[in-house]
Amino acid sequence: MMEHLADEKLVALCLQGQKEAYNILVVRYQSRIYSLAYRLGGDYDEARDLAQEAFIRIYQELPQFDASRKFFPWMYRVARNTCINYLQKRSRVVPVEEDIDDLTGMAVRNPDYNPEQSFEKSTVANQVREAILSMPEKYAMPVMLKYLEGLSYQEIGKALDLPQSTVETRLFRGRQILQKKLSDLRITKF
Amino acid sequence: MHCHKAQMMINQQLDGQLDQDLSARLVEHLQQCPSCRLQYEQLTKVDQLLKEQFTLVEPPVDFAVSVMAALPDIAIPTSDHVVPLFKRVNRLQRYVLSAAATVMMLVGISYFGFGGLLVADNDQNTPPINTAQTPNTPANTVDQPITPDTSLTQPQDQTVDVAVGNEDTTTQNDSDVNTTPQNTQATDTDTPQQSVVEMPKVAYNSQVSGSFSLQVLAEHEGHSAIYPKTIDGQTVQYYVKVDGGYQLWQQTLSADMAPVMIQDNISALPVVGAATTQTNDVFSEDGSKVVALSPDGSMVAANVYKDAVALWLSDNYSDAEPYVLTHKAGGKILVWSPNSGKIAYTDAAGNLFVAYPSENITFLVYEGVVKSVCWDQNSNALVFSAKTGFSDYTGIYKVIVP
Repeated sequence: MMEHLADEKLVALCLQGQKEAYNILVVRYQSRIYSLAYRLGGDYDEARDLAQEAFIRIYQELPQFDASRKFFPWMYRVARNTCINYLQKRSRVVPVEEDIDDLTGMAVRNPDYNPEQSFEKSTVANQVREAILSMPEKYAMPVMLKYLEGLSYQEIGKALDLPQSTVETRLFRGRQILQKKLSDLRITKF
Repeated sequence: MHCHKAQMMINQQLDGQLDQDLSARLVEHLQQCPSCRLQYEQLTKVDQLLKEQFTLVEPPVDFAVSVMAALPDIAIPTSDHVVPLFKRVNRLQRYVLSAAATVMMLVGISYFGFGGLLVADNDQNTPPINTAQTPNTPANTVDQPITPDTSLTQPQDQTVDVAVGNEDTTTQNDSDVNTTPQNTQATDTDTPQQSVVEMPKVAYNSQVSGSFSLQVLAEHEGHSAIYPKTIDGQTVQYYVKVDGGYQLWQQTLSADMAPVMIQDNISALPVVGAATTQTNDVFSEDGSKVVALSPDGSMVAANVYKDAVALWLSDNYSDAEPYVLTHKAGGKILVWSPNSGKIAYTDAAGNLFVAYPSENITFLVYEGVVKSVCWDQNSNALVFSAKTGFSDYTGIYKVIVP
């Protein structure tokens, strides 16, 4: 029964050709990676594509995984980078009209839909997403683990293999960076 | 209470890590310090905003199934997300090997690939053999039909007899080669190797194919320092380091000719290849080794060694953070193609790769110790000098990339 095996052991089995071991890793972390993709991508369709690409990339990168380190932070980092790379490329080609179409579609599906309110909400969400995307990884990771997964300092430290004091400092710095970026983006709350 | 301590306590307060006593002391400080109060208000807003925006989202029920269904088409590569295309095809490999020696070497070098054959070759002093074949026109290899090719899974260099069987055994004496001062020997070109390879476009979940062609243009004996200068449709020029200076050599591409020395007694090596900038400014945190701005100014690339071995990329027009294209990097070479679409770079071992930043693809194009590289103006051909650790030859190679 592989379900109870540690991540690192499952990776070793994957590298021996046991694909079912990777299935367990996918099931184990799909919520986390999907949530990450949703927050970075902005909608459910995008999240599905992004998360799938992330898991494919993680699978491809498994030979590069250092077995002496923890799997989760490495996996999370690969997933985040895959999402960011994808979104950076896409942002150069996706026309603005796509967002407008999306809002129109929402209005058709939901009669109570308030375009202005929704647009403001969507704008804030987009700006937060942009701010997170442009943050240095070492600050973004603790912030995402804190807010996306509600982990404590200790849990974040364990996940990222960092001392608790470092986690605290990076969260502090991460919030400061976000505050500055969101101020620059002229979010009305600031 | 110092403001710095207060700010850290604000952080702890937001994370619910501050006990009641400390919390009261923080409140006291905030009442007296407008600066910290402003900081507290702003960070609290950030905290609220993030809490509103970040919630765990469950994937569709069939998500894991769809991921696993997408995997069978993607084999786990042996290293990085890199498809090895060519390994060094040394002139020495063409010597006829006895069956027993071949078996012994294949058993002994299974991990190191064909380069290991060179270790086992005891006949390194045998004069080079002139293949006397007219090279194919390189430009023809780029636009091959884009079709999957099963040869991908069977790299040419893993089959010893292929090269031996194709060999023209005409022997070339030193006098046939060139009038070579000092101890330089130069030999002429080989037939290009050609292969169609799959290029996984991971980011778009689709695939395209491209044709690669590798050609040995010339080899020089006993020298490790060769620097490609220029390549055009007809010739390749390169500098060869000799005692007391450099020589400029030229190899004609379209004829079956040995390279010729066109200038001697060059005291200092001119700048060759595309310019790279040696600076630590952009990626100082990771200890950069080589940093280069793309010719169009849109991207910055860094081939980084030390703590974080990686090829980093950064959009020069935005404040987005640099991202890692691949960790299989860390060498001393980093050269953008003139059209800014490709990067030639080496890993720490000197193996040569080509990256396509916009496609998120890297390819291993040559396995050996690459010394210097130079792109042609069309960004389709890459000329490089390379030497294996076991050979007494340094070659000039040309690779055509899609």
